[in-house]
Amino acid sequence: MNHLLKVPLLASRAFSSSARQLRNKVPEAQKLFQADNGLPVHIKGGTGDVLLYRATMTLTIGGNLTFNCSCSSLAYCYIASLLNQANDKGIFKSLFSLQEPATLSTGCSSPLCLRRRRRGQEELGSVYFTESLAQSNANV
Amino acid sequence: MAHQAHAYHMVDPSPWPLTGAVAALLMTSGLAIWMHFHTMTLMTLGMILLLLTMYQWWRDIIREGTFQGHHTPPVQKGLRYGMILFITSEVFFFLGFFWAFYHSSLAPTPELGGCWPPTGITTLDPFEVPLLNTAVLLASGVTVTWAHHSIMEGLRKQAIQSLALTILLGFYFTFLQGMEYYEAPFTIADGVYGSTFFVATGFHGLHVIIGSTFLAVCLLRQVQYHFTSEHHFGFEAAAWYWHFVDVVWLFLYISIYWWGS
Repeated sequence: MNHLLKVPLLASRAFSSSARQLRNKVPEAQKLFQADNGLPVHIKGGTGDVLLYRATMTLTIGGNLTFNCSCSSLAYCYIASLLNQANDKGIFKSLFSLQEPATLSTGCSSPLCLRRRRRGQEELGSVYFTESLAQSNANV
Repeated sequence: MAHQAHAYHMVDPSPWPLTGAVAALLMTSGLAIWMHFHTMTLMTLGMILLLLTMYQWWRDIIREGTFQGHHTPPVQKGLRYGMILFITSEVFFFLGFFWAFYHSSLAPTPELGGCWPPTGITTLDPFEVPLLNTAVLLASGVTVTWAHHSIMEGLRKQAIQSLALTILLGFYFTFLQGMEYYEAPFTIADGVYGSTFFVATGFHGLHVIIGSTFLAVCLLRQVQYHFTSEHHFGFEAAAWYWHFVDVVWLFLYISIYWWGS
């Protein structure tokens, strides 16, 4: 990238007839990149190539790990559980101010959640839950 | 040392397709995360990785062609086919946006006032800055052809001057279009007129920037003696791309700026 910044200077040098001509370095580059050392072209230029390759690979692997942490199913499960907790606290109900039927006030209606809540409500001795559970079963 | 008994190029194993794919993954997922969770980290990481991939991949192609001599006539033929097919795919990309424009403008709905331009839209005068933009791009087409002939005739100084002038004209177009965007009396949110105008001209502007960058790389290579009078395909590819950008502008000018005003 740095050599792109030299373009205006190089162009003006090339325009001026009295300026020293830019030397043709292509033969040297040809010798370097045709050397029989078994190196692939992406690191054949020397130490700079290797460092840049390593930096790029580090970003590639690091980026993949970051992606897996932000977008994986694990992340979705965590976010879903946060939303469930918020629903249980009645946050969405108060936000939207809805007259909800009894079925919805119980939150998530998956069998696992129902079983968990039933266990919790039984401990508290709530009759209400049992009635609404019967209602939701009837609706289904 | 084993030598090949054919004129084709068996490429060295390269990590850049993998890093490019990961960059695309991070950019797209990063875009979604930016929209929902307001953090730009993943997208920025993807963009940096994309820039690194492009720089190193194209640097390697220059090494393979100019320094290692792998771009024999059959290989060059393949590269020509590849560039032509890529430009063809870009033509189809723009065709979609022109389809959208004509779909909306040929039969304007009652919601727009039953007319085109829609009621309430103050269009840009096609004979002011848009006409200047047309002249700038047509002139740049002339200068890039001048650059090509200079390279073919081995006139180094003229090639550098004409190529630099082409790039300057490209920058001038981008600057003028930027000013037009800033001063425009309508926005992208102003109904289907705003949408079609800014998406079509916006993607065209992006292609002008890409084309100018390609030509700038060619200028750098010309200054460094990479091109010969017989072999300068990198420059030819840049020139083809530039002519394509010019032609798209002509269609945009006639359809959206002139007929659509």
